[in-house]
Amino acid sequence: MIINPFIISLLQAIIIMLIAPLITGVIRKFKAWMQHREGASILQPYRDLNKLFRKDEVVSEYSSILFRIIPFVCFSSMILLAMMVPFMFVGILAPYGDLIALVYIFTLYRIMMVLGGLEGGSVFGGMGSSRELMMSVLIEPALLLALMSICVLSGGGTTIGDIPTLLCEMGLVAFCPALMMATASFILTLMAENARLPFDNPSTHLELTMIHEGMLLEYSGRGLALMEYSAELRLTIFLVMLGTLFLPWGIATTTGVWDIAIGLLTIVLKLVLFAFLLAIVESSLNKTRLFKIPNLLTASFVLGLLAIISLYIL
Amino acid sequence: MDSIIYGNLIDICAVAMLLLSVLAIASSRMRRLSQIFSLHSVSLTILAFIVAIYTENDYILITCVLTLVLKVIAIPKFLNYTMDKINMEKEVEPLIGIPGSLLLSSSLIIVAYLVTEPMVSSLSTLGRNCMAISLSIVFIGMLMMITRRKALTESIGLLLMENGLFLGALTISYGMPLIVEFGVFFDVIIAVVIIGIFAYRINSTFNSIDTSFMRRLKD
Amino acid sequence: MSYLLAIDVFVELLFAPALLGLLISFIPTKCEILKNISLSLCCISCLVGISTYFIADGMSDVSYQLPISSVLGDYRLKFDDLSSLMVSFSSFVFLMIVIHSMRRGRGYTVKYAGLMNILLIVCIAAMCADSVIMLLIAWESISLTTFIMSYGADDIARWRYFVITHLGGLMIMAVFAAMWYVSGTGILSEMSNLSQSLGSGVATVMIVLLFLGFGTKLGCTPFHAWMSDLYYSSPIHSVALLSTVCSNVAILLLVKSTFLWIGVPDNYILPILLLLLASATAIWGAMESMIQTEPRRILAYSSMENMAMVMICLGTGILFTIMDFDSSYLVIILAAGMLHTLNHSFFKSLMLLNVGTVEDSTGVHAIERMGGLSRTLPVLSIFALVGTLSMAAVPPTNGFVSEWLMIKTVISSGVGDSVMNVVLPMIVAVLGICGMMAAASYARMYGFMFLGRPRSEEVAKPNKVDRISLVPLGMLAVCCVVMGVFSMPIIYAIAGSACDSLDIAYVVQNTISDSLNLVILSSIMILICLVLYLLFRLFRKKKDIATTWDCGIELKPNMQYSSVGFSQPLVRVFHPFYGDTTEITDDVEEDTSVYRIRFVEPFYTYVLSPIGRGAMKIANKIGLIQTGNIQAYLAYLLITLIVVLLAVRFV
Repeated sequence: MIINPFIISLLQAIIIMLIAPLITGVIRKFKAWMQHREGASILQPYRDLNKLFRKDEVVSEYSSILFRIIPFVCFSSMILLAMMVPFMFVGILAPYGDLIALVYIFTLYRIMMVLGGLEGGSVFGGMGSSRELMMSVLIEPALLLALMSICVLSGGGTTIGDIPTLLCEMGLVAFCPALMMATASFILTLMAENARLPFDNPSTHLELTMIHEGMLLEYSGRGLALMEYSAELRLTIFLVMLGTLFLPWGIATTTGVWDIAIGLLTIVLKLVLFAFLLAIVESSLNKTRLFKIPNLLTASFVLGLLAIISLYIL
Repeated sequence: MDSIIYGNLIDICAVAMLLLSVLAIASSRMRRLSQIFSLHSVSLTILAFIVAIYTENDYILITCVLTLVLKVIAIPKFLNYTMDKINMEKEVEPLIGIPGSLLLSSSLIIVAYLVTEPMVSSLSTLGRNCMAISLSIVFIGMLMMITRRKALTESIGLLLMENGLFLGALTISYGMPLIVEFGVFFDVIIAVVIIGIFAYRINSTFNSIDTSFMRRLKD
Repeated sequence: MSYLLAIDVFVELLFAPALLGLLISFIPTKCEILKNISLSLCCISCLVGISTYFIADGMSDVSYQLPISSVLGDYRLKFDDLSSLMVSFSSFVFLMIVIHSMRRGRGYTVKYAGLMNILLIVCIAAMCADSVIMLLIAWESISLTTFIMSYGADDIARWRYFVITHLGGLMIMAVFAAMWYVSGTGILSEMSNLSQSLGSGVATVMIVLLFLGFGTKLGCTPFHAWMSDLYYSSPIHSVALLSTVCSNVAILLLVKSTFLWIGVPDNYILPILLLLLASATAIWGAMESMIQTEPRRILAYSSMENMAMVMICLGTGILFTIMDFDSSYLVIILAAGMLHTLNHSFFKSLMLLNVGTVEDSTGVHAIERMGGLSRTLPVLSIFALVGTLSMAAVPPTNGFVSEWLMIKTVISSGVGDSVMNVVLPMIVAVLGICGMMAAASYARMYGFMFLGRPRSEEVAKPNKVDRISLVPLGMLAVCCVVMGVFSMPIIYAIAGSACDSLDIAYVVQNTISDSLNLVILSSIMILICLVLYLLFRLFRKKKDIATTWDCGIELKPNMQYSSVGFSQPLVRVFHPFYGDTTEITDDVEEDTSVYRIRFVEPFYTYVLSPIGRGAMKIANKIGLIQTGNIQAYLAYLLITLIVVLLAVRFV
């Protein structure tokens, strides 16, 4: 039986929306186990969001209408991305957006968060915004180069749907050093963008160590719920990109029901595996000093550059 | 089909060596450097082993075993021993900073690629693509010798250069004559021993093996 | 016959109102009405200019010859597809700037209105010039007019601009004279592909000279030293016109010279050199805009960076031609570059006029003392937000579309076997890092001007903004969004015009719109926002207003992030490039500390200053022959006479 691609894309957006807090819960659970703790239940992020959605909001008197709009924009951009990224089937929303548009929608999210941090005139927000901009200046070229290398490797253009299909067709030849280096570069970028250790501590309360949390300090109630949900969605979308663009084996290339089911199962298993690996990495590293972060990000950039060059050398 | 698999494996080992060289130039801890060097030599050994199987040449097998014994086991142990004797602290910041060194080494890799590109098409050996990688490792080793101040770090740069040259010899002409290989190995061992002794001496004179202090000898 | 008559009528309608406005400005009165009449005549010319593309698209060969002619040839204009497109868009931006300048109480005189009229005439003439004479006279007039229009600026800044622009003008004059000599004709539309007859080396030198020459207006390093100071102290409308319309002229002429008149020589050094120059300019512009403390200076360096991105596109186009790629790549990268120029004129004029309005109503020039304007000037802050998002290349604005097209084309062309392919990832890296650093800089500018709490008295209570200032700002903001969402027809129009005007044999196919459909993407986003908003209204919750979290202290105006502190992390990361030094002076008696950061402008200190001092030394030495003694002058006369007679006799 063949299903309409647009319905698949809606279905996929709903599934990603539902499992995003679960992934965060799973990561926290694995980290707790590595610390010999029992940890909170994996459904705890759902309960947190539920609690926040029910609370009243307190808004600073110095903030403008932009402050009220920002949570909506951030959340809807992440839902749009959830529809664009290949999840269980390639070629979702294919004629409407491509890989570079994906990167720039992340930029939209980032700029909106930075402006939200400067609202209200609090110093925590200013600090979070300035550090976030420092990191994003170094993240962006690394991300573009990692994506360029898989575009050139697969031989397709920047259409998102072509890349997994072509990589699967290439078979064992695709397992070249370029793919490994591009994956490594993308993993470093993933951890930097989503405020994971060693770049930023997602569960900190101290302003000396916060980058991402600093920008969220002024939000409360539903605005905060939307921003937290968008952050969890962003992590899930990055992990999905890692699973389907860089290591795409298992994804469905036709719209038969059986293929879609296998694709769904594969990506969910990959997500759980990535959550586990992420928890291990986070538990074994400490947070890097702020001005040592450019070293790591330059390493990510150099890995991406080497990935492309090795495509030309080898 | 065989040669494609062997070719892929050789490519993976060569790229691993390149990445380890870049990691070496980016790390600032001495213990880490000797570990990186032994991993570097492990990749070189595996690569030499694959070439030996493909060409069914016994001499390369002998050099493979020599590399394993000397560079993977003996020299790192000697370097660790020297480090313990000197009781040294962490490496200070290199002359141009870690991001600068990383960017400079990637430009050196591009230069190596541009320089060796016309020669690659005229070769017919299995790993001819790795010529650019071997030249890049030589460049990066030289960069390490220029921008690092501690004597032991400079010696690791020299060792990396020698590994890169051996990789180049393997890929262009399936290894050099055995006598030349032996000669090179002995040179390297003597060089490391001498540098170890010197490092100890420099340390006991200046209380540090920062070679920029040696400029004081000029006065 | 009627066809030619129609063309004549059109051209006369285009130029006559502006000429009339110019004549009016010669009347020596201080009457406000005359100034408004002159500006309105300028507006009429602009409106005719907007219709140029639609008129010229229908006809096949729109050329016009001025009724006067000179000893060096005729003065001809030709409205081919690409020029008419640029004229249309530039006239629209010009119109918006002129409407904004009609606001009350700023003290522009009739003469300024006349200067604006002249600038309109010469810019259109330069874009459509068909004879070399017309082009050179128009370019020189642009330089002179903008120099005069920047009255009120610091003298040193103005003269620095004058010298650098004329240096560029000399280079352009030399190259075009060489082109005239080699091709034997002074009519530009008869020159094509001169690099065949010139040889690859000479053609390379000529193209590099052209890039440097036009780059003096665009801000190519090291000729960017005039931009920051001039933008800071000139009237805002001169700055806006200089930054947008004059840059459009320069880019159009550069594209035509490189790809049509001279043609691309078969030499790898040329694109590498141009890409290095343009990348250095882009990175330097982005880095410097991050540390400035006045919005005008930030926008000056931002102009430099955006024009450098267009030059990167042109260099990549040259690279594609030499590497013999499919001509579709060349057309699309050129379309991306031209689209970025047009988008730049829209968002830059929007932001500059915004900054001008803010300065008028608050009187404050530094972002250190601004803040909180989004609550006191709400409409203005919305327009500024659209402009900032457009400059930062955030979807769905027009700035995003041009950067997206550039990066997509470079990545898609990465397949291939040539050696020069290693250049392409570096181009992507440069575009990525400049784009993001510039976005950081604009977010900082917007955040400090409009968000947060007011940092000084004047900004806490600004004057009301004139209605007439808000109209052009609103139109430009709407255009930024509309040109972004409905950008595909514009891209196809530019690509089609480029193919026609530059003689590239390629039929534009609809492949670009297969990859991006901003209409659908933005409508999905808006739909989701609306659904959420309705859900939230359905389940209403209380919203309290309280003060910002202040840890129990009363927040003073300076207890916010400062602009210098905001950029500190990036300055630390790029410390070797900035060469910044920090001085801390402690005043023990008053128990205060002054913390000062000094940045070095290396191009001015190490490149231009020594040249200036050397030139002064040589000038002083030559000046020694002016002794003031009448016998010496008579002796000079005698010597010159003898030398000339001998030369005529023996040579």
